[in-house]
Amino acid sequence: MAETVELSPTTRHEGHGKLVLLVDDEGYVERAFYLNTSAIRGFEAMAKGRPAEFVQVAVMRICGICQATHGTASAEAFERAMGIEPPKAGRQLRELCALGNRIQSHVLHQLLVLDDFVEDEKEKVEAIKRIQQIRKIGQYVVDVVGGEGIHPPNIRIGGMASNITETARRKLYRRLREARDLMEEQHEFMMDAIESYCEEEGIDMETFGKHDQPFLATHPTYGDPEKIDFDRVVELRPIEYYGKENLEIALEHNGQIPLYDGVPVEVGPRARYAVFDAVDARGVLYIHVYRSMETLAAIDRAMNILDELNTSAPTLAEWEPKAGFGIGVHEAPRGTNVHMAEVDEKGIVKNYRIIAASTWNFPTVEKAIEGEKADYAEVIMRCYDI
Amino acid sequence: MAEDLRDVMVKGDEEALGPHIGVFTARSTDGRILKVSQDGGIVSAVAIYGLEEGIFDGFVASVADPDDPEEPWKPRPVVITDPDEVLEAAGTKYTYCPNVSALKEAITTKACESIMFVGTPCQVRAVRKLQIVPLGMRHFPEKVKLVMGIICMENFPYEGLRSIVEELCGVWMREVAKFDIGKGKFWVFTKDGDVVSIPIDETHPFEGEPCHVCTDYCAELSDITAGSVGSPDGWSTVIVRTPKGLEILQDMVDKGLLEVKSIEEVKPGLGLVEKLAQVKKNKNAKEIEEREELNLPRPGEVFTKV
Ligand SMILES: Cc1cc2nc3c(=O)[nH]c(=O)nc-3n(C[C@H](O)[C@H](O)[C@H](O)COP(=O)(O)OP(=O)(O)OC[C@H]3O[C@@H](n4cnc5c(N)ncnc54)[C@H](O)[C@@H]3O)c2cc1C
Repeated sequence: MAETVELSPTTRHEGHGKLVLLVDDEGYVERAFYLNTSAIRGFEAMAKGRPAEFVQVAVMRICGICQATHGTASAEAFERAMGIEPPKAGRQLRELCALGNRIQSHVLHQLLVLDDFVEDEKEKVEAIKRIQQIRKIGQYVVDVVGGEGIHPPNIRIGGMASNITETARRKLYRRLREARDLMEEQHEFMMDAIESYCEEEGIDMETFGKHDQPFLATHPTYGDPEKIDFDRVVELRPIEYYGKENLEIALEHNGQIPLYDGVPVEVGPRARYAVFDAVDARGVLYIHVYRSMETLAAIDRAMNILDELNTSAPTLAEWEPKAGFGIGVHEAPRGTNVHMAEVDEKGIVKNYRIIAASTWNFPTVEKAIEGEKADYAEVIMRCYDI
Repeated sequence: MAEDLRDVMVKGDEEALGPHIGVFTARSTDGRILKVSQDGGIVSAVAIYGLEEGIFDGFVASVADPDDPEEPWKPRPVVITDPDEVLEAAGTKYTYCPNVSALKEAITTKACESIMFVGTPCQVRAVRKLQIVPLGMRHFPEKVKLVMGIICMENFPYEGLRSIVEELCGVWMREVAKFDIGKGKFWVFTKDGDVVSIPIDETHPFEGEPCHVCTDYCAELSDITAGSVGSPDGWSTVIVRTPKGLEILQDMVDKGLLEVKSIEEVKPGLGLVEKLAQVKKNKNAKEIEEREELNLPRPGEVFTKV
C-alpha cells in the first residue's frame, strides 16, 4: 500500500515549493508531485496596457536573484516586436551583465546545497567564505555594467544605457581573474564533495535520479529564440496536466506547465551542455557538476567579452514605437527564460507572456524523483535550484 | 621649509561657520588653474592633486558649455577621472546642477572607488545623508573620500539666471565668459572683455525657492569648504573641518601647490564670512517659521510629521 508523504515547504532552494510523494512499502517513490506554491503575482496581467519601457523595467522584479535575465529577455522581445537592432557593444554588455548574475547565482546555489554533501563545519565555513567572495565579484560585474547589483537599470530596450570606462574594464578583468582562481578551487571542492557523498551513500552517480526527458537550451551564454520552435510548445493548466483524479494536488500548483513536443523537458546548466556539447550524463547529480563547470565558463566568457569590448562604442539604439510581436529568449542561470510581447503602434503592450526558466523544470523534477528513495527527494529537487 | 597650516589657521565662530579645525586664505600656485578658476582655484587644485596622486579616482563636479545651441551655460554633472579634464569644470555656474545624481554613475559604470565630490551646502548634506542611509546606493558610503563644499548664499533656476543675464544685465548668454557675485553686485564678464554688474538685490526675485529655507552658508558637513567671501580677489577662503581635509591641504602646501596666508592679514577677513553666515541663518530661520505657521513641514524634518 503506497503511503503519501508531504514535504512542505521544501527548503534551501529559490522560490517556494511543496513535494507530495506516493511512497511504496520499500520507501521508493512511485509518483512525485512538485508543486509551485509561490503566490501568483500577475506580471503578465500588469503588463497589459502599459508602455514597453515600463514593462521591460517592471518584469525584472519577477525575481530578486536573477533579474538581469528577465530584463534582457524582455528587452529582446520588445526589440524583435518593434524591429530594433541594439548596437554590438550594447549586446556585449548585456551578455556580460547577465553573466555576472549567472556567476553569483550559480555559486549561491552551491551554498544552499552545501548541507547535502558536506558535514565538516570547518570545510563548510571555508566554502561559504569562498562562495561569498565569488558572489561578490559576480555582483560587482552587475553593479558596474548594469548600473545596480539588483534590478540593473542599464538594461534597456535598444541595448544598454551606457558603456563602461576603460578603468572599469580593467577593474572588472582583474576581479574576474580572482574569481577564476577561487572558482577553480570551489569546483574541485564540489566535485570531491559529491563524489564522497556518492561513496558514503552507496549511490551510483550515473543512474541516481535519472530521467529520460529531452533537454532544451538555446545558447551556451546568451539566448536565441530561433532555437525554439514555438509551435511545439504548449502550456497546460495544472488540472490538464495532472488530471482530474489529482484535482487537489493540481489546485495547489500555481502557474502553468510548459511542455515541448507534449512532454516535460529539462532546462538549465546540464541541458546547455547536452545541447551544445553533446554530453549525455543522466544521473541528476551531474547537474551540480555542469553548474559548476558553467560558472568557470561564465567567468571565461565574461573576460572574453571584456577583451573584445570597445568602451567608446555606442550602446543604445534610438527607436520609435511600432506595432508587432516578438519573442525574447535568455538563458537564465536556471534555464531557458522566454518573454513574448505584442505591442501596438504606440508601443503599448497588448499582450505579454512569460515562461520563466524554472517553470520548465517543475514536471521534470518529478520524473527525476520517481523511482528513487523518498529520503533523497529533496536532494534531487535541489539539483535543479528551483 | 613650507608652512605648517596649523600655524596659519585661525578658528572662527562655529555657530556661524559650522564645526571646523581652522580657516585660512589660499590660492593655487598654478597659473593655468587661476586663469579659469572662480577664485583661488582651491577646488580645482585639490581635484587635480588628488587625481594625480591617486588619492581619488573620480571627481564629481559640474560642467557647462557656454556655446550649447539650446541652453548655453546650463551645467550638467560629470564624473572626471582624468586630471587634465578638471579645469573643464572650473568656475561657478550660478544655477542648479544635480551633482549628487552623478555619484551613481561614478560607482557603477565608471567603477570609481575613491571619489571627491564638490557641491553646494545642500548637496553636501545630501551626500552625507546618503552615507548614513545609502538607499539605492549600495557600496557608496565608503567610496566617498573627500567632500568639498562651496560657500553659497543662494542659487538660481536656469531660466532665472538667464533672465538676470539677458534681461537685467542685457548680455546674451552666449557672450558670457564668467559670472560672479561679490561686493553687493552680480557681475557678468563677457568674452569680449566687457564687465556688466547689477545690484544683487535685483536678482532676489529670481532665486530658487528651496534656498530660502536653507540655513547652511558654509557647507557645514564638508571636509573642506571654499568660498570667495572674506578673501581678496583671486584668493579663496578655506575652512578645514576634518583631519582628512587638513592632511590633504598640508601635503599640497608642502608640495608647493598652494600659497597660503592668515585670514587675519587680509581684507575683508573672517568677520564678513561669519556675518553673512549669520545673515543667511537668521533670514531663512524666519522663512521657516513663517512656513511652519502655514503648517508646512520644517526642511529636513519632513518625515517626522505624519
Ligand atoms: C550657486 C553658487 C553660489 C555661491 N555663492 C557664494 C557666496 O555667496 N559666497 C561665496 O563666498 N562663495 C559663493 N560661491 C562659491 C564661489 O563662487 C566659488 O565656487 C568658490 O569660491 C570656489 O572657488 P575656486 O576658485 O576654489 O573653485 P574652482 O576651482 O573654480 O572650482 C569650482 C567648482 O565648483 C563646481 N561648481 C560650479 N558651479 C556649480 C554649481 N552650480 N553646483 C555645484 N557645483 C558647482 C565646479 O564643478 C568646480 O569644480 C557660490 C557658488 C555657487 C555654485
